[in-house]
Order: sequence, then C-alpha cells, then structure tokens
Amino acid sequence: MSPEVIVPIVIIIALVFDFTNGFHDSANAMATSVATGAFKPKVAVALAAVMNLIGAFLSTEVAKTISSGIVDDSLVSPETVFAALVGAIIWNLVTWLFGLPSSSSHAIFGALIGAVLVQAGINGVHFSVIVSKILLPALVAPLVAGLASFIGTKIAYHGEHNAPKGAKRRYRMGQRVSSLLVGLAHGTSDGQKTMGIITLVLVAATLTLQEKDPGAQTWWTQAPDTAPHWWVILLAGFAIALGTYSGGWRIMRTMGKGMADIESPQGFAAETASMSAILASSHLGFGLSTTHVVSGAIMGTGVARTPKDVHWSTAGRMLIAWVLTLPAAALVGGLASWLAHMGVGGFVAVLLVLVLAAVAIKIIASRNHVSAENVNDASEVKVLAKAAISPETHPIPNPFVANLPEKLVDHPMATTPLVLTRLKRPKHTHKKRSSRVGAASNKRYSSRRWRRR
Amino acid sequence: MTQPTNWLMPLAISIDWWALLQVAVVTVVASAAIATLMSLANWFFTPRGEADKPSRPREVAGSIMIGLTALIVLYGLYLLIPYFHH
Repeated sequence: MSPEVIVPIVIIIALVFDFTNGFHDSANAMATSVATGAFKPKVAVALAAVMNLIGAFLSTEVAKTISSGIVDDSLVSPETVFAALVGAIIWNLVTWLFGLPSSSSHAIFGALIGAVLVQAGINGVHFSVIVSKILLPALVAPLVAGLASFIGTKIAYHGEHNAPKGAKRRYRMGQRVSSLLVGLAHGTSDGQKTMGIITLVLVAATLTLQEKDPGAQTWWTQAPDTAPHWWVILLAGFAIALGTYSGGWRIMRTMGKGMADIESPQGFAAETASMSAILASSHLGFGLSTTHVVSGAIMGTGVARTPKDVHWSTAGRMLIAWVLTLPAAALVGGLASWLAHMGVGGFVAVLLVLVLAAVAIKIIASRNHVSAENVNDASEVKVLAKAAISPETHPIPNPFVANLPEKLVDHPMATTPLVLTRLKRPKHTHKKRSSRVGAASNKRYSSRRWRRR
Repeated sequence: MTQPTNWLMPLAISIDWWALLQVAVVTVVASAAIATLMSLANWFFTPRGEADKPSRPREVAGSIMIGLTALIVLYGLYLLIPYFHH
C-alpha cells in the first residue's frame, strides 16, 4: 500500500486511539473528586480536559520514542502501527464497556508486541524490557500508591477525628489541586504517546517514499530524530482533551464508587498518593501507569478506613483485566498485523472489523447508559444482554410501576428487569390497601393479581 | 557456518532497582508529609474549648501548614514541567 494512502488513515486511527485514551483515563484524575463531590461531574471532566490539553503542549520528549525499546523500532512499518492501534482501541473499548480501569499504555504496548511478533518473530521483541518496563511497574505501582494512600488516610482520619470542623472543606480543596495535577501529568505522558506514534509512522513512511524517489517531499514527510510537527502536537493535544471531556463515565463509576465508598479525607489521601507516585516515577525515570497508580491508591484508602467496605469483587475483576491487557491486546494486534500485511484487502478488513466492533460496543453500552447525571448512583457497571426495560422506553401497564416515586423510576437500577420484578409488589401498597378497604379485599386483590401473572 | 542464536539474550533483564526504591520512598514520604501538614492545619484551625474561632497564633500556625503544603505541590508542578529544570 502506498505511503500517501496509508499515512492519513493511520493518523486518523492514532487520533481515535488518543480519544479513547482520553475517555478511558479521565477517571484517573477525577473519579475520587466526582465521588466525594469535590467537583461536579461535568466541571471535573472539563477541567481534566483543559489540564490534559496543557499537559500535551508542555513537552515532546516522550514523543521521541514510542516503543521505549520494547520492540525493535527499525521493524515498525505503518501497517504495524496501524495494527497496534486497532488492537489497543478494541481493548480500550471492551474494558470501557465493562467499566474496568485498565492501562491504555499497556494496551498499545501489548498490541505493538503482538503486531511485531507476527511480522518479525521473537527477535523483534525485547522481553527483558517488557519485564523491566511493563510487568514490574504494573506490580509496583498499585502497591506503592496503595501503601502511600493507606498511610495518608490513617493520618488524615486521625487529624479529622481531632478537628472535624471545616476539615472536609480543606480536604476537598486539597483534593481538587491534587486531581488537577494528576490530569496535567496524564496529559504530559499520554498526550505525547500519540504524538510519538504519528511521528514514528511519518518517519517510516518518509523513508519508504524516499527509497523510490530520494527527493520526494509531501506535507507529512519527516526526517528521523526530529521533533513532532506542530500540527501533530495540536491534533494529539485536542484529541486527548476531547476524549477526556467526553467523560468515560463507566470507568469513573467503578473507580469512584465501585472499589470503595470514599469520603473527602480519603479522596484527598488517594489523590495525593497518586500525584506523588506519578511525579516521583516520571522524574526518576521509572514510568508507572496512571491507571494502576490511581486504582492502587483508591484501594489503599478503602482498606485504611473500613477494609470490609472495600468491594473486593470489583478489585478482582480489575486485576483480571490488568493481567489480560497485555496478552489480549497482543492477540488482537497480532491478528490485525497479519491481516494488514496481506495487502489492501486485509487492511480494509481490519478497518471494517474496528468500525463494527466499535459500533457493537456502543450499542451494548447504550443499553445501560452511564452519564454525568447517574455516575454516582450505583457502584457497579452492568452490561445487559437484552435491551433495558424502563417505563419511558417500554411502558408496562402495571399500576405498581406506574405509581413508583419519580426518584425510583429515574434510578438506573430501576431499568434492570430484575429490579422491576422486585418493585412490582412493594409492601407499602398492601398496607395502604389494607387500611383503606380491609384485609379481605386486599386478599382478593392479591390473588387476582397473581392469577393475572 | 552461521552463528547459533542465543535464545537467552532477550531475557537478560536489567532492572533499575535503585530508581524503583527511590520512587517508593519518595511517594510514601511525600504523601505522608502532605497528609500530616493538612491534618496539622485542620487541628490548628479548630477552636479550642468554648471559643467560636481559633486564636490568632493557631490561625497563623494553620496558615503556615497550608503554605508548606502548597510549597510541596508547587515543587511537584516544577518537576512536572520540563521547561523549568532542563
């Protein structure tokens, strides 16, 4: 496939990945702030978007090397990057559907490993770097952040016990500042990742183009070891900011309410621990995933206050997602790479699979919509096999459902069939009827109702 | 004759344990320090006994604690922006 055709397509797919990275990770900075009420949900994502945008413009140092030595860069072709992006996007969307916070960096690295393995075999992948730069940090990040958050929470609660008046307000203020810094750090690292991907493709495509025609120059040509084009920085910055602003409410619900019920001092401790871990790791050259750091910090703060209130089942699901991220993304990336290297037909097939997968995931997600309005209403993200039943979409001629208080009808749990079944025969209705027309009438009414069923 | 491939070469792992230890210690110490300063600030800002508001010295001490917290956060911002230290 000619570079003139493949380059614009890969740039668009890279920006789509950047967008998914934004909405997948917006929870990292803002989940605890939204859960504790430090920020209103829409204000939180708007601020996170602005911080990500600023972060993306702060530096382009990370952008110079995308693979961080995990694979042999000289083997990476535009098709390989395309396949890796497809694998990472699909994994990001699947984990978003289930509301699981998994690392976008691990998704792209896993997909890149799979794509290079298929293309060049085992010698194209540096397994030692995978252990030192992916697996070990994935183990360390949640433990370190969890420990820091645990200690911070113990200290904060000791202080709050002695000085409850006005403390919450100050902790909320501290939480706001910490979460904004986490957003900024995220933009600095992840915004540049996409710039790096696009730059890598541009350099590879330029070399291919100039092999045929040494003097060839187009709007996208780029020499090796040069900084990203200004338009690449601009597009990547806006894509991640737009993605962040779009919310990622499903993951925000899991992180804010699904792992542990958190209060302001806990939110403050978790955000402070996350901020410290991210800043220390990025400054000392030991990169940690923002997702792993924040998830570990939330678990740490939950354990510090009331260990029995920590939702271990959610933590377990999250852990499974973390373990699966690398191999699953590698599998999709490998398959996509195999297809994409088969020619135009294979490339188009991969593109079609991506579009179909995205549409299918969107449809399934819309059956149990999570938004800024209901992000704090439940602790679990449900994936429904059948369309949700709600009084608005499927009017049921049932007096009990029709007479539900407005608060309950709007509640997301009321849209699940299970909850509707339970709500069909509320106790208070019996009592009310008993008091009005007597026990006998009530008995008749009940038996008639059950026969009708 | 071709050189046999050393299959163990890709597994020669080099981990920067020193950087890892530094990250762990800095993270724990920094977050504990911020939490302690905020807790102290809260303690100072809380009125003692029957008083409606904290005494002047307590207000000053509380403000100093908040100021120190802000300094740590500003240092974090300084570390985050490469322009300042490169």
